[in-house]
Amino acid sequence: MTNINLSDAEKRYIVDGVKLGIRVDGRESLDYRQLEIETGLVDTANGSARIRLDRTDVLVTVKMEMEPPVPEEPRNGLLRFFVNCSANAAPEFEGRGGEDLATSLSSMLERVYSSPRTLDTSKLCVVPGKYVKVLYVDIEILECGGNLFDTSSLGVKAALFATKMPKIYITGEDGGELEFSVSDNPTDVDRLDVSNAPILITHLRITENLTVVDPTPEEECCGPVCVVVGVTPNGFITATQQFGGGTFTPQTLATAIKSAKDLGQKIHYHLRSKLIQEENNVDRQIKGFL
Amino acid sequence: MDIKLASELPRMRSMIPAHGSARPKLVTPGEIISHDTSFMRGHGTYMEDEIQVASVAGFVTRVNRLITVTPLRQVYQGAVGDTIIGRITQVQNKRWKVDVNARLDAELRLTNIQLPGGEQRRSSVEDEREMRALLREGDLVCVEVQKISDDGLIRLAARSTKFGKLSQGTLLAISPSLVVQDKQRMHDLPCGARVIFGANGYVYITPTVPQEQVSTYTVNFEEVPIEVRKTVGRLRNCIKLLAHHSIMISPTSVMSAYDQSIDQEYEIKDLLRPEVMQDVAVATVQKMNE
Amino acid sequence: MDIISPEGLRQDGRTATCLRTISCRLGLYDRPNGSAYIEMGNTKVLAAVYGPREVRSLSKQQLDDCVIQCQVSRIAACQGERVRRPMDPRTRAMSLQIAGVFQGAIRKSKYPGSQIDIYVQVLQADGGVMSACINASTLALIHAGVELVDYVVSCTASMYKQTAIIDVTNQETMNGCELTISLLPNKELIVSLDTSHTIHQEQFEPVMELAMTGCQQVYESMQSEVESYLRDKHAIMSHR
Repeated sequence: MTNINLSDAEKRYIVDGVKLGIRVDGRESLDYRQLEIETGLVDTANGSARIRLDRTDVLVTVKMEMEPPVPEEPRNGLLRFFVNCSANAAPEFEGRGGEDLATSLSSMLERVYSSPRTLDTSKLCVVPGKYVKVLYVDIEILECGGNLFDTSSLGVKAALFATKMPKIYITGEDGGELEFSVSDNPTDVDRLDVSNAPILITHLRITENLTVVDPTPEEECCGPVCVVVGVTPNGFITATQQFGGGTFTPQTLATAIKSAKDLGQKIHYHLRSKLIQEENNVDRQIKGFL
Repeated sequence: MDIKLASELPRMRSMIPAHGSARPKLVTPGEIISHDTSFMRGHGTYMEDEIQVASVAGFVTRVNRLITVTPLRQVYQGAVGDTIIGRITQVQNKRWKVDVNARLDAELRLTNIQLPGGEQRRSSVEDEREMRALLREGDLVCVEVQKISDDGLIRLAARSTKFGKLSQGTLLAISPSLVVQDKQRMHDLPCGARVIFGANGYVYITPTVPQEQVSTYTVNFEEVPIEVRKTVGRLRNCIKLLAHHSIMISPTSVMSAYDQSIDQEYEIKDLLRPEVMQDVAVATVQKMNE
Repeated sequence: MDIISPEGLRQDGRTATCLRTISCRLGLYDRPNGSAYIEMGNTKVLAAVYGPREVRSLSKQQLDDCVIQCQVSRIAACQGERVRRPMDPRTRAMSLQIAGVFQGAIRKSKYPGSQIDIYVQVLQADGGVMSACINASTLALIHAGVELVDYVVSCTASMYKQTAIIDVTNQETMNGCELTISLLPNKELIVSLDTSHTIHQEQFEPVMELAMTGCQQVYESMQSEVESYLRDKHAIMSHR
């Protein structure tokens, strides 16, 4: 994703390693690097999470706003995804440099969450046809160390899990306009049910019949094409997309999707237990960036 | 996949007790080093009203009358005779531009390389046209600093068979301050791999090549066997963890970390986990203190 | 609501001349040459420095000078209202100002023909954003080993009724002026000064003086962080 230019010799070394089942850093093709996670570190957001995966650093914030619903779905709230590839992560992102990547990522997230099986947006309805809660999910890429899609989707799920929306009460009506009061009690909040929220699993094509997960930036240089699969905890596939110019054989693609489903379910389980563990730790000190 | 909460991870700070040796003076920018005008000012210092002031944060070192301050991280300053590693960024008329981790791209002229075909022959028009066949964008080269011009441009040379294009292997970029200064930069380590500790902080790990097979501008694309890959991978992760903990990189420290990681029965990919990295780093320092 | 209570305390319990807690950290990232993070109360800022390195766009290249660029952006949730664009005219103006500040502090003569980029990310904004951006940039430059004449430290102050108050929060600047000053602390030179909102000329001096004493305190915090960062690392660096 960032433009590192490798020599043919380095690429050969990476590709052969995948063939032999040992990647440059010693991992096998389906091994992830260790993920580090923290939620609730941005006070000004309704929900937030920071995810680090080796050198990849993603900060996700969720902010709630009240808006009229879209006419087709008057009883459903909305999730909107915005990605910002900041220049901190890579100077190439300066100006409009990161826009293509940002658009691919945000549209992929939008699609993967669009299925009604993933997150029940009817719970975000305040007054049908008039006001719904809109959750703005902002993804800030702070450092780029490969595998942005998977990392960001995990961050989104964690941030949504941690989101606390103040309860909204309708207090009266004034000339057809409804009046609201927003609870300022920190415990009087609504939470989201993210038990079906999907995550993304990316398989990067290295050769005609070999793929790897969780690629490093160097590995990303060796694979022109990857397939991104949205997986729910129940093992449903909510969206898939092939990125980059290149081809897969049908068998490779089928295997990759099957493996994404299996891996995704495991990661979901693990992520959930970690998030619950963090929530139950009452005297947790927020580490943030310090 | 391993997921850790930020609150579960070890703090890096003061993980290794300070060594007993006398500490040199520590300065940060703007601080006065000395009022004595008989000292010569080296890197990281400047003179103002006959007072020597620090311009970087680091430790003061004094060699005879020369005072320098070395920061922990810096770009490569360049010194004639250094063996360094660079990556070709541009092919220009009769010369290559090379990224050497310095403040400007260095320059390698066609006339300053030993052309294939052995002896130091004059370069022909054909060679000029075929420059990309020798070295192209992305290629890694091992070269020597020949000269540093007044404007700070580093000029490179590769006038013997020990220099030239690097074949299969993997590159790590660390701060030049962390590479031990040593005349000998290419080491065939006892574990069965060659490491080139570029003075500019680029470290290249590659399978050991028998002397007679050395060819300067053609790359051997033969598959590297698994056993050698394991060695290279372990070395890579060891150098990475040493650099991450700001431990000086030398053949001794690298081999020590390598042996420690084997003694403690860590798999290669275990060395990517922060707590294991710290463990091996601490053990290495203790070992070297003995 | 009074900004200063009859007992002389502010909303967050500080006295008029007391700074908010400063915490900072050097070295968050690997890829940039330098990186740092600073918290001044609830204002939280991240900075990354790339360079000195080869100038990328030829139009900017000056053979005998060093190009210094800065880009400030804000995350969407950095304040109460969601920020729709990470960059707007205000952040661009701040970027230019910060680049200007460091023109005077970086020893540019050491880097002719090179470029240094400072990228600043505002994570939370609660007053004194400009100051926090400058302080974070200084730390990131020091982490990158870029040669500086001195630190650049920055602090804000304001006036409430007849009392000068230091390091003001968003709430405290609602109706008052905000003065931001940046210093080279060892040289006691001012590299930038800006004020917003009206201020009486007679009040100008006490406010500026208070901000300057604040700068010296900021300097102490930052310097002690840089030193402890180096100390921790040095124990290890000496093993050659």
